[in-house]
Order: sequence, then C-alpha cells, then structure tokens
Amino acid sequence: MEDVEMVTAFKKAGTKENAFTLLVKKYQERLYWHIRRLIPSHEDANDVLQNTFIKVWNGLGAFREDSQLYTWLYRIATNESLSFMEQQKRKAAVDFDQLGEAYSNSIKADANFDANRLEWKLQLAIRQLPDKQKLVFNLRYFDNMAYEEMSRVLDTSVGALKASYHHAAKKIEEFIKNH
Amino acid sequence: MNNRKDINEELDAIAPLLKSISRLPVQSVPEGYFEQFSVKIPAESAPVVKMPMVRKWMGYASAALVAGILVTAGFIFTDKNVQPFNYEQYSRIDVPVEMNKLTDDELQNYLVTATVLSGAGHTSSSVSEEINETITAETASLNQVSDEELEQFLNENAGNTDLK
Repeated sequence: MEDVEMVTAFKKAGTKENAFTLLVKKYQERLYWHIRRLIPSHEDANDVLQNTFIKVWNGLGAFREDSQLYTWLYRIATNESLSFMEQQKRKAAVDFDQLGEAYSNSIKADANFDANRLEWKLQLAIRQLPDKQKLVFNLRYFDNMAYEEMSRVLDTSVGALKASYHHAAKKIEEFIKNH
Repeated sequence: MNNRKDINEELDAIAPLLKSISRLPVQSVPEGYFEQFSVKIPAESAPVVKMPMVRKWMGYASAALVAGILVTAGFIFTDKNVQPFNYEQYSRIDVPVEMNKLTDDELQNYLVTATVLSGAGHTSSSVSEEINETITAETASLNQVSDEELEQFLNENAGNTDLK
C-alpha cells in the first residue's frame, strides 16, 4: 500500500488500526536503525521507537496528505532520539564527551563487535561526531536521503547540510585511518 | 531517497575510504525482534461527562450538610467548658480554720463518702475499735506476767532506748 493510501485509510474509523499496522510494518526497521545509530543500546532504541510510533498514532489523523510521510516519520524519530539523548545527559549529569565515551563503550560491548572490521570502526568514528553532524551523516550515508528531504527533517538549509556532511565524512575517514 | 550512485560519487571526492564500507547494520538485535514488534498504544482516557446543573448543586448541598453535622457534633462532644485547676487559689486556704468551720455531720458524711470511694471496708470508727481491742488483749496478757519476770525483763533491756 502506498503512503498516501495508508494515511487516507488511517483517517477512516473502520480501517484506522489496519492502516497503522501496515505503516509500522513498512517503516519499523528503517526507523529502528535510524534510532539505533544514534542510541547504541537496543533497549533504549526500542523505547524510542515505541514513543515514535505512539506520536505517529496521535498525529497521523492531522497529517496533510500532500506532505511526504517518510520525511515526517524521520522527523519524529529524530526528535524523539535527540530528546532521549538530552535526557540521558541530564540524568547522568555528564557532558557530550562523557556521553560519547559511554556510547562508544556500549558499541564495544556488542556481541558482534570486532575491532578490526571497518564497519565497527565506522560506528566508533560516528560516535566522535557532534549530534548534528552525526545525524546528517547517518541520513545521507545509510538512508540515502537527498539534501532537500533532509532539510525538511532537520529544519536546516541545504547548503549547511552539505557542509556538515563533508566535515563529518572527512573526520570519519581520518578516524578510521588512525585507528 | 537519493541515488546511491550520486552519494558514492560525492564520497569519491571527499572521503573515498567510506565508499568501500558496507552499509548493512552490524549491531546485534534480539532474534525475531522485527517480526514480533508491535506498538503498545496507550488506552484513550475516558471522556469527561459534565454533571447537570441541578445534580451539581445537590452535590454541593449534601457536602455542606455533612460538614455542618460534623462541625456541630465536634462542638457538642468536645466543648465541655472545663475550667482549669487554679492552684494559686487553693494555696491561700487556711486548712485548720476552714476545718473548724465544718459541722460534725459534714465530717461524718465526708468520712463515709471517702471510704466508699476508696473502696476500703473500714470507717475511721471501726479502725479505732480494732486498735482498742488490740490494746486490751495485750494488757490482759501483761497482767498474767509476774512482777519478778517484769523486773528481770527491764534489767536485761536497760540499754534499749525504745523502752524509756
């Protein structure tokens, strides 16, 4: 079912729940990985994904059908992830660097972790980035998102996003080469 | 979504190493997580039903009535107008003078009442009678002692001050 059809079905009382189930099935994996790249723990990522879909359930009725659904979903998931990270920082009373270190340790604790594999070095390198650069890099590199769409998700100009992505990619390559 | 080819060309220019890395997720996820995933939508809160105006005022009236009963009952059962004990007033009383003012009947009444309240089985007159009986019995037993025995007893206890 196309996104527009799902939104229309959601707005009808008789097909609301079925449309929502289809939407969850279609986007759960993509949104989960988007969240998980920002929040390394599976349990935390699962909580954030739950909250994201609850927001979708509450807001989809008022969603304008001329907007792009997946951009809206990414926007909610991004905001939920950032709120969660902000809460974590406040709760632990740590600064960005300390939280980054804790997240890096969380990556190293993964059952599949292999320090020699480039994919894991890439994960550790992304951890070193500031939140905004991390987001921009993930959306472009892993989710193949166009700058124009990213601009709608992050409320940032295309020029600023391009600059951010370039800085992030260079930093990551540098990190991988040195580790 | 953007074309993967465009993104790779972009990476060629800025960070070619990244182009060769797999984009597939490497982190572990519990088995069957995506198949079993479901969203727990919280139950919608119950709608608030507005109370009709008459029922609302009836409610207020009932609450006021109950509050009135409780306050009145509180006054009835707790407000006994008890005067505090005035120790200063009683310390100024001259007890012997006041006692002399009492008649015999008043004293007799007091003794009877005090005995009943204390729960004792004796009045002061019965106590006096008991003492007299004891003295009489002891005097009778002393009459049976001879003068020689008394003399000897006094000589033996000459140093005992209790007998002086």
